Amino acid sequence: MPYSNLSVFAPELSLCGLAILVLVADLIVPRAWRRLPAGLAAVGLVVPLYFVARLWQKAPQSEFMGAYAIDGLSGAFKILLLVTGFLVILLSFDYLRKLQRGYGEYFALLLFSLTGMMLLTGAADLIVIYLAFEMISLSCYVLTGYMKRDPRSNEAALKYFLYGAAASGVMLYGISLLYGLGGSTRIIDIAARFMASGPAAAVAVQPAFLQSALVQAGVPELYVMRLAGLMMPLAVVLVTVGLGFKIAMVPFHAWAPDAYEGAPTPITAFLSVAPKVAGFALILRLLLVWYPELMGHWPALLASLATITMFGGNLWAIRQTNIKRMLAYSSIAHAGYLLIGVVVAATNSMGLHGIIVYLVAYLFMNLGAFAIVLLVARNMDGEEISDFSGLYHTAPALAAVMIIFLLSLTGIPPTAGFLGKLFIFGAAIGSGEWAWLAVVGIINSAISLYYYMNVARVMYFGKPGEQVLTVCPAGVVVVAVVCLLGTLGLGLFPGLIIKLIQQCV
Amino acid sequence: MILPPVGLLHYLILSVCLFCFGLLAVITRRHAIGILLGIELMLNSANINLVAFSHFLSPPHPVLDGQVFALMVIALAACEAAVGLAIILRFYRQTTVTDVADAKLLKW
Amino acid sequence: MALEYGPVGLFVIGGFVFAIVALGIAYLIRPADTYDRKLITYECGIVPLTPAWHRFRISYYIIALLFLIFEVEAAFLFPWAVVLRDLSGPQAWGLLPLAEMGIFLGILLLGLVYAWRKGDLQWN
Repeated sequence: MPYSNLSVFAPELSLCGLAILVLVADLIVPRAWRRLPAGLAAVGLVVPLYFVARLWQKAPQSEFMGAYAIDGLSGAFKILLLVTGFLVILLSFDYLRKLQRGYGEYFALLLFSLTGMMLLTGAADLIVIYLAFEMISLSCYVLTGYMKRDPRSNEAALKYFLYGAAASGVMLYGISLLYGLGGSTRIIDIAARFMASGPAAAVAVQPAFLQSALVQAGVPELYVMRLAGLMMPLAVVLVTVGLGFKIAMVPFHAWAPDAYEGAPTPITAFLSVAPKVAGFALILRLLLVWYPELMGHWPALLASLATITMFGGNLWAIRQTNIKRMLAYSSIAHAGYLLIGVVVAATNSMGLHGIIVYLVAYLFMNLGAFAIVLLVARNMDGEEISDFSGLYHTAPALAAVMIIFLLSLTGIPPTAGFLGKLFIFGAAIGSGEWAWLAVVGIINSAISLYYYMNVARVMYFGKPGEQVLTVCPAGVVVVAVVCLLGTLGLGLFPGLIIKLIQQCV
Repeated sequence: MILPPVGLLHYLILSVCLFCFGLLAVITRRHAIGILLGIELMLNSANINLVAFSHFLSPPHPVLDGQVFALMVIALAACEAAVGLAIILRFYRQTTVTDVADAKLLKW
Repeated sequence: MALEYGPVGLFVIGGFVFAIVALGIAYLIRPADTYDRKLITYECGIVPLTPAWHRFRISYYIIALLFLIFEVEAAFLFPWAVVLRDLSGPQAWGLLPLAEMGIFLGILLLGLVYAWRKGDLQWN
């Protein structure tokens, strides 16, 4: 019965339907009511959330002949994505007030991108993975360049597009090799094929069927062995490059600071959280299915990438003067911390829990920080760190809230960021083999303290500007409050979320 | 001289060459549309791989996964080109250049 | 074995021969009379006014993009059409395959309607 399949697909279908509905509503309603479709987008997210929650209680299953998986892991990631989407929509209302045309389209694109991300969390087939990847990227390119009149927005979109498209090309080539080596597009079948050829030869596996095809083609046996042995690591590396771009891993991060700085601020907030959530969901799925048969050396590769990502992100962040650019580098560093969790997750479920706790914390503290940036930029008309100067004297509450987000980003108790780092570093130390990564992570947290606290220093000791905060858009304030509650709540009462995550994943 | 029949390896070599040309274009071109062309080459090299693998490696009964995948890639490549050209055009209208070296409002 | 390359070889040789012969004959019989006007870029016989990166009307571009997307999406119709008869009917999935393509085309059509309503198809 082909119909029964669709129930597992309900969250994505309803989200996609919502996006189309928003688009149609944008066509129909008069300009004066243009906030209606946007509000519809925010409220409508309840429907996919409901479906995700309902599926979450069911046993893990895979549908569409193994192409799409439903399990606790993807459920958790989907909820994170929907919450992010909701908060970003709230952030956007005020920012877009001056937009001449395409108000509703913005929200539709946001929802389409979110649909792609949801798809990616459950993707268990190479075709679905690529499709979801492009769905995310294409919407994000457009959203980055949405402020058409702002040359910086255009330039950011151009760079993001060129880097992103090249990365997806590289990844697609890796995927095509994986398809050839595995003889199937289902990731589980590919793993089975490699299992059959013996787990001992983790990387230098030579799939027998490819060999015979090449030998028939008249290639000398010796070369065939070498060729097939080379193709596997090559494919894995190419796919890693593509994934690295998506989650902004050093050395594939070059697009991130530019895209983050030039993009409309709500989109910057979106880009710094949502694609990372989706990207890590995919990385974890590949790792859990393919380790160790296909990816015996992947943890080691990722460990070295995590190290340079953390150092790169934090060291570059120090010398930034633009707050969005600084947060961009900081989000690169956070991807590095998360990668530690991935490395550990290969052998230890602690890493898995750590990643989810960290992502929950990261969602709240990062979106919260961006909400404050939006509020300040709205009043000061600038996004430099110097615009925060003396904020403590003009708006003490705002400065205090920002401090809490910054402390959380650094990882200081009693905040969510501390809990996340505790879990990830704890898992690394517990694994024994990767304990050194925890040390690297702690050193990096110390480095990050410098630039996060620099913002705090400017806010407290800087000379206050002329302007006072007069405009406080409701949506942004709501996001700031929600994120504050999340950041503090997670830090003060960690038991609840930990129990939930351990139950479901 | 005895030549081997045209087989999987020939397609793989062709696709590797195409991929390398594409990558080279992406790296060396300074013109945004040149880079886009390079990216299209890379996508098409992957298509050759997909179709070749699908044709040669799916006995006993043909499974068309690779061909279907290639079809998807073609459609997505068109969408990507459409979005990319729109972005490049927008950039050009503001700066009247399409040389990526001139995109330096945001420091590299 | 080498025969498999036969058609390819013939094609390559034929291509070269044709090009050389055709251009060679043209070279031999045409009057050699070149001046500067002849060497500029050919544009319907009119002297080109601006460089090629001239500001074109944006409508050309939007129409071209819409065409590109619809044309490529048509590629999905052919494999579907081939298997439609086998998949439809009471023994198989009934009207589902037809409905699926209907949804696909419906979404595409919605895109066209969207562009039209937003005034992107207007030639003014």
